[in-house]
Amino acid sequence: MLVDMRLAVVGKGGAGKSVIAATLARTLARRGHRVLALDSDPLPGLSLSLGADVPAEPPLLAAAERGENNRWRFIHGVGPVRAIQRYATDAPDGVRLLQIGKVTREGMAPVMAATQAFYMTIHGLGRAATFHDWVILGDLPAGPRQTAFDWAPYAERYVLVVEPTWQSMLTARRITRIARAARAEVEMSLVVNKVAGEQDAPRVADFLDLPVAVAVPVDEGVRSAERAGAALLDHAPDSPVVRAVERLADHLEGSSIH
Amino acid sequence: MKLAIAGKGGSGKTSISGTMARLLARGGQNVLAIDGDSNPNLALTLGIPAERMSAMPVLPPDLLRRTTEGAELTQSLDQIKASHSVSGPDGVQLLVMALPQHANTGCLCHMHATVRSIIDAVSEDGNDVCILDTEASPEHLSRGTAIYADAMLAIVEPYFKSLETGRRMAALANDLGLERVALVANKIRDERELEAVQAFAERHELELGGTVPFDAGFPGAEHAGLAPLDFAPDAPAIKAIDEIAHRWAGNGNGRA
Ligand SMILES: Nc1ncnc2c1ncn2[C@@H]1O[C@H](COP(=O)(O)OP(=O)(O)OP(=O)(O)O)[C@@H](O)[C@H]1O
Ligand SMILES: Nc1ncnc2c1ncn2[C@@H]1O[C@H](COP(=O)(O)OP(=O)(O)OP(=O)(O)O)[C@@H](O)[C@H]1O
Ligand SMILES: [Mg+2]
Ligand SMILES: [Mg+2]
Repeated sequence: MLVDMRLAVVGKGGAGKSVIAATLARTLARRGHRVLALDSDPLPGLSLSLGADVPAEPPLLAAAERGENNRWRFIHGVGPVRAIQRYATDAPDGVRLLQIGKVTREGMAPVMAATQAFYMTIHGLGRAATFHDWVILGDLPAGPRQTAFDWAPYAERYVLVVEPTWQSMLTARRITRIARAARAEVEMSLVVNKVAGEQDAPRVADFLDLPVAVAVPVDEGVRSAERAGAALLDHAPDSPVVRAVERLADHLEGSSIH
Repeated sequence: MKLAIAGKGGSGKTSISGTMARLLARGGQNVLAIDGDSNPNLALTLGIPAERMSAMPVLPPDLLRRTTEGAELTQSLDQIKASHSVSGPDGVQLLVMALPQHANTGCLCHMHATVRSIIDAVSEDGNDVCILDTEASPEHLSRGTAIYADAMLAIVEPYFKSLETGRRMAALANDLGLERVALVANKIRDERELEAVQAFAERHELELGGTVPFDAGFPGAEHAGLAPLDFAPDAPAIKAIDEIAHRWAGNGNGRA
């Protein structure tokens, strides 16, 4: 099946972006899609939720250097496609994972090359024929900052992860407005997470004026997986959250078949 | 006392910052709360209604001027407070850094620098308190926004992603030269969870600066659109935050 799924998972801090992005990435991979997961959070998150081993240093560190005028550029022989082929790492179920530089004790300076290489890679992705039939799925850090500063240029669809709380709803509205101001045609899929009562999902949908793609219940399995430091799919494969992500995958496939 | 509050997304930074600010103000201290998150929500946990949020003033970019030595504020702290702060319940004054759409460059660097200078300008008087709520990112530490804080509390929940984020932030704060850095355990449901945080803190030689229990009053407050302190003033988590606030920023014992 030819898919055209270019997604960015966004929302308030702690809304469940990484858990949902990771479970979705593996679910789609199990269905036969080729999946590239883009981790653009300088703090750890996605790789733990995927159940992937993370190298101590971001592999992309080797991909960029400073050229003339001190400006960052790819090293000789590397472009966006090569960067992914060479520096993405394996995650369970065949997902490929490309990570931004992760904050170190000395701050972001030591991983600046990886941060820059990541930015150049995602900005070059749009033109890359090599990945046209891949699912590209970005997990963004909390809030609207990366959306505002163009850290998901590949995204044709935002997966908004929203809890039924004021803070989470206001955050989602800010992100939606910023994303649409930059690109009016971008699609939105609303995932209401940590739903406890019947009114929760309709309330969020109403506030954001978006239909609910899926409602994900509050689930003890997620907490238990987090405490165990394991991926949800490995720790609690029958969790209601896993089933909800299956429905999200159906919705996304249904929205993107050509 | 100038206190920065950091931690993973959703760990409870804003709930704790807002509640602390209110409780310290009730105790008679002058409290300046700074929302340093580019996704500002601190007004809500201070008890400023959501309807007022869209009209909230943010710090303008012209408060900071570059000089040969670095940068300086173009107005006194009192002027800044008078023209750009919002008054919340109990007399807390709130300054909001900015939303990303207010940045005219590719980052919020200038606004981070403005907040840094404002924190610097807050007096060392024990009756004056400044609480900085931060974003779930290393920006405040890697950009040095929090460098003039006396202490940083990294709010952690009892699971690995959250603890690991707290640890990395604590290391950055130590390297920035903050005098005191500690973890605060939040949303603790039982003894076993507390022990997990204690063991982690010990293993990484970090101070545990306090413990806040899981409290249904907090999500309840969010549903009701109220500050946790107004929704459930006698909740166990409020008591715990009160104790932490006074231990870390109370008048006279801030450096105990
Ligand atoms: N449906 C759910 N039921 C119960 N707990 C959940 C659910 N979804 C997520 N959580 C919990 O919420 C917390 C935050 O999850 P996660 O780290 O995925 O969020 P995030 O949005 O990626 O956070 P950050 O902003 O820090 O990147 C975790 O403790 C996770 O276990
Ligand atoms: N002690 C507690 N008991 C129960 N729930 C809590 C507690 N503290 C915070 N919460 C809940 O956790 C959620 C996240 O809290 P909050 O928004 O304060 O976190 P944050 O760290 O500021 O998030 P962000 O990274 O988005 O800034 C909220 O729904 C809040 O009500
Ligand atoms: Mg995350
Ligand atoms: Mg917050």
